[in-house]
Amino acid sequence: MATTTPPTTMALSRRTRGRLQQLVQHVPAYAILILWSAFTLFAIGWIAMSSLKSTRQLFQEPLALPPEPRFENYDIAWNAVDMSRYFLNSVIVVSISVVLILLISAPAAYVLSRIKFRGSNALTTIFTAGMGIPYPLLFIPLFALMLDLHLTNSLPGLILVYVSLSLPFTIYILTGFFITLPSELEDAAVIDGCSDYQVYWKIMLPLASPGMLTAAIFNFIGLWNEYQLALVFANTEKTRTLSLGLYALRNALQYTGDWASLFAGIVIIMVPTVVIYVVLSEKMISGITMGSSK
Amino acid sequence: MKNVKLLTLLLVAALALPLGVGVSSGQDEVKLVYWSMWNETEPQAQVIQSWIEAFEAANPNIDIQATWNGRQNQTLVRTALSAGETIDFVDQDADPISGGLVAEGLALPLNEYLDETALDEDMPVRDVFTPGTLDLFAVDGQVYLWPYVYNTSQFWYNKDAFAEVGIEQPPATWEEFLDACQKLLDAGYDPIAAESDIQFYQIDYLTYQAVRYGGVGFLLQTLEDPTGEMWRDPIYLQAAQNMRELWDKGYIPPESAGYLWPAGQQTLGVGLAAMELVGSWLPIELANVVEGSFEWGGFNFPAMPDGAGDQNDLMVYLLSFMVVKDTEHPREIADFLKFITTQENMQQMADEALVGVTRVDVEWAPEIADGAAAAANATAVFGMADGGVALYPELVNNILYVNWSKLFLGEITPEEFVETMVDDQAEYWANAG
Amino acid sequence: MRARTRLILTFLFPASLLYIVFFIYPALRALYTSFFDWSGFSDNARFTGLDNYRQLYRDDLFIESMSNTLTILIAGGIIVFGLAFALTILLNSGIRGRKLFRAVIFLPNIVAVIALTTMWSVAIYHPRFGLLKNGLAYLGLESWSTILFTSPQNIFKSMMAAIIWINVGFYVVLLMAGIDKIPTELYEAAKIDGANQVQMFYKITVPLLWDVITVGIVLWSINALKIFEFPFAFTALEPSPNTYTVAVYLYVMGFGQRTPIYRLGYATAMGVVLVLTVILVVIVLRRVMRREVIQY
Repeated sequence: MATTTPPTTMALSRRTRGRLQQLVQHVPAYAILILWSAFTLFAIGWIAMSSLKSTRQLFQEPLALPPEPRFENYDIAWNAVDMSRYFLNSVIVVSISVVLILLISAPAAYVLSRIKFRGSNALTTIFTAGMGIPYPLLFIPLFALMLDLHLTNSLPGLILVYVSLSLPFTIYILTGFFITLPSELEDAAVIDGCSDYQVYWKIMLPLASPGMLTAAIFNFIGLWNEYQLALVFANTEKTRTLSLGLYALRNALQYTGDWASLFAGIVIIMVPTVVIYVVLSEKMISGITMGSSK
Repeated sequence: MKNVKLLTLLLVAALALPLGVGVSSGQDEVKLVYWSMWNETEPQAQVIQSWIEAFEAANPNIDIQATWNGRQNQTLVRTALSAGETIDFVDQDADPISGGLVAEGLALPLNEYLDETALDEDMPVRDVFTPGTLDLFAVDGQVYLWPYVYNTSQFWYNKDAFAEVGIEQPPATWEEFLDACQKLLDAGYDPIAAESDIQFYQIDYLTYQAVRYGGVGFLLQTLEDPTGEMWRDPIYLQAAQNMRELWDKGYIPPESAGYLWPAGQQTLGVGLAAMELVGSWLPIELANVVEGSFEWGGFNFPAMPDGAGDQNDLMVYLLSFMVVKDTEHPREIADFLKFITTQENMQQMADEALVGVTRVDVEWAPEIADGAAAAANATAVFGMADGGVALYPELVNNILYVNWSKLFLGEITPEEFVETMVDDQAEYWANAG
Repeated sequence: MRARTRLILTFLFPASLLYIVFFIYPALRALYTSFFDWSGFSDNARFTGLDNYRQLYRDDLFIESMSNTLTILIAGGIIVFGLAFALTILLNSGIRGRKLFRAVIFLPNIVAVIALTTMWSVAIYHPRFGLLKNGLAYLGLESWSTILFTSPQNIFKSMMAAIIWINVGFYVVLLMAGIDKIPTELYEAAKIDGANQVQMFYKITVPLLWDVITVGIVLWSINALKIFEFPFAFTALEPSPNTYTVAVYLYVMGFGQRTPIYRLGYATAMGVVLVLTVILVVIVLRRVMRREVIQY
C-alpha cells in the first residue's frame, strides 16, 4: 500500500512497459515488412543512383555512389524522345478511356447483375469470357478494322481499342460488386414509385461508387503501363504514349550502349507516376477499401 | 429539267477531268511513306534523316514521311500491309526481310533501276556496290533489296590485350586460335566474351565452322535435307565438340551462362574479356563503356584443319532498303535510293554512324578498319546461317538455333546435338510438306 | 414491363456494340484463321483443318511454353497468395505505419513493366555487377553469390521471382480491402468468446473474405495464363525460349522477331487453346469457390 514512488511515474512506466511490450511483440512483423520494403526502395533507389553515373562506372562499381553526378544523362534521355508529348498523350488517352469504360460498363453490369432476365447469365459469361483472350490474337483483324475506320496510328483509335478490350474485365469487377449490394434500398425505392432508371441513377450507382472507383483505378494503372496495344495501334512520334516512349527509349539507347541515360529516362518516367502515387495513394487504395464504412 | 441535269453532269465531269489528270502530272506533290528499322535517336537514323532533308531540298515536290519503328519494323510493316495501309519503302536486315516480305512477293524488282547510271559515276549503279552484296539475296537473278549498311561477322578484340600477352598477329588457324586463348587465360583475361541469350550470335560458331570445313553452301544444303541425315557428317560433331572445348577449357568463362545481353559484351568493353565473335556494330554499342584509349581490332574466323572453305569467306549482315511492290511512286523512290548511294552520302553514313557501307571507295571508321579489309578481301560472302534464315526461317529459328544454343550452354552433348538435329529436322520437313 | 425492357436494352447497347465489333468479330476471325495455314495476306491462306492443333500437340516449344505458363499459374499463384496473406496478416497485427508499408509494397505495380524488367535483368541479376551478387557477397554469403540467376536453368525461376514480387503488392491491397470491410465487432465478439488468432482467422476472416479471395484467384489465373509483357521484355533483344509463355510464343510465331515466321494460323490456334484453358480454369474455379453470396 505504501509506495515511495509517485503515482504518475508508476503509471508511466506501466504504459511504457506496455508499449515496449507491444513493440517487441511486433518485432518479427516489423522485421519482415521492413525487409520487404527496403528491398523495393533500394532497388528503385539504385536505378536513380545509377542514372547519375556514366555507363562505364555503372558496370564497374555497381554499388558505389556516383563520383560526380552526371546530370547530362537526363539531358540525353529527355532529348532522345519527346517525353513531354508522350506524357500528355498518356494522360489524355488513359483518362478518357477510363471515363468511357465506366460510362459504358456500369449500366451493362448493373442490368446483368441485378435484373434477372432470360439469358442474363449467358450474356455475363460471354462478356467476362473475353478476359481470357490474349491480345496478340486480335492484332491483325483489329488493325484491319481500324484501317477501314481510318483510325490507325491515332489517339482516338487507341482509345477505342482500350475501351473495347477493357470491357470484359470491368464488367466482371462491376457485376461482382453490384451483386453484393443490399436489395432493401432498391425494393424500398420501387415501392416509393421510382422508375427503374431512377433506382439505378439515384440509389444503386452511388452505392456502387467504391466498386466504380476500384474499377477505375485498376483500369488506370493497367492502361497507363501497357505498351503492347499502343505498339500496334499508335506507334508514331505524335501518338506514342509514355510506356511506349520508354520502350522506344530502351531500344534507342541500348544500341548505343548508353545504359546510364536509359536509367535516367526510366527515372524521368517514374517520377511523375510515383509522385502522383505518393499524393494519391491514400485515395487510390482507400478507394478500394471504401466499402468499409456503411 | 433533264437538260439542267445533263448540263450539271457535264459541268461536273469537265471540272473533274483536269483534276484527275492533274493528280498524275509530274510536278505535283508526291508523298513517300518510309517505315524504318532504326530508332530516331540512333546515329544511323539521324544520317538517313539528313539524307531525306537533302533530297527533299533538291526535289521540292517530294515529301518523304519517315516512321522510326525500331527493330520491330518488319513485324509492324507486315501487319500494316496486310491490313491495307500504304507504305512505299522500308528497310531491315536483309536476312529476315528476304525471308519475309520478299519471299511473300511484296517487293518491287529493282534490276531496271540498278542498271541506270549512278548519280556520281559514269557507270551503272550496280557497279558501285561492294561485290557480292547485291547478289547475295537475289532471287533467280532479280534483285529485290538495296543494301546500304555492311556489317561483318568477325572476332572483335582488344588490341592492347592481345599485344600484352604477346600475340602479334591475330590467329589464322584453329590451333593458333586455341593457343591465343590459352595465353589470354594465363594472363588473367576472359579470352572470349559471350551472351547466353542471343541465339543469332551463338550460331555464328556453327555457321563459320560449317563454312570453313565444308565451304559456303554446305550448311544450307544440310538444312535442306528432308531426312536430316546430313547432320551426321563428321564435321558437325567436330564443330560441336570444338564449341564445348572452348567452354571446357575456360576460354569462355562459366559465368557466361548467366550473361543476358549486353552483360557479355560489357566485359569486353571494361577490359575483362579480350574478344567476341559478333557483328561489326560492337564498337558502336560499346562506345560508352570503353576507356578512351581502347583500340579495336577484328580478325576473321580461323581456318579449320583440312577445311574446304577459304579463311576469307565472310559472313555479312546487310541492312537494306526494300520497295513495296504496289507503290505508286517507284520512280521517285529509285531516285532517292540512287541519291543515297553516292560516295558522299555513303561516306557520311560511315563517318557519322561508325558502320560499314556497301559502296566501294568509302573509308570506314578506324574502329572497324579490319572489317573494311575483310570486306575488300572477301572471297565469298554469305548470310545468317549460310542463307538459312532467309530461306527457312522457322527451321532455323525454332530448331537449329534452339538446339545449338543448348549445346552452346552445355545443356546437351555434341552427340545429342547431332541426334536431335536429325530427328527434329526430319519432323520439320515431314510437316512442312 | 416495357419500360424495363427498354432500360435493359439501352443499358446494354453501347457495351454490346463495342464488344461485338471490336472484340467478338476479330476473335471469331482469328478462330477461323486457326484452321488455315496463313501468313497474313489473303491470297495464300491454305485450309488445313485441325492440322495446326495436331502440330501444337507435338511442338516442344509449345509444350515448354505451356508448362511455363502453368507453373506461373499454379506455383506462382500459391506463392503470391501465400505471401500476400502473410503480409496482410502482419500488416493487420496492430503495427504502426501500416498504410506506409502498404504503399511501398504496392509500388511496383505502378512502375512501367519495362523499367521493372530492366531493373531485374540488368541491375539485380547481373552475374558480375548485379545487386544480388554483390549484396550477397558483401553479406558474406559467398556460395549464394555465385549462383547464376540468369543461366538457362535458373532464368525462368528468377523471372518468376520478379513477377511474384510485383504481384504480391497488388493482392495485399486487395486482401486488405476485403478485410477492412469486415466489421470489427465480429472480431471483438469472438475475442470475448475466447477465440484465439488462428481460430478467428479461419472462422471469421477467411469465410467473410471468400468473395474477395475468389475475385483475386480468378484475376490471378487469367493474368497468369495471358502473361506477356514481363517475359517479353525480360531479355533485352528477344525473348529467350526458356522464358516463353504461351502468349509470348504466340506472338513470336505469328509476327516473328528478327527471323520472320509468319504462321498466323498456327499462332491463332495457340490463342484458341489458351482461351479454352482460361475458360476451363475459370469454370473449375467458380465451381470450387462457390459459396453463398454474403450481403452484410
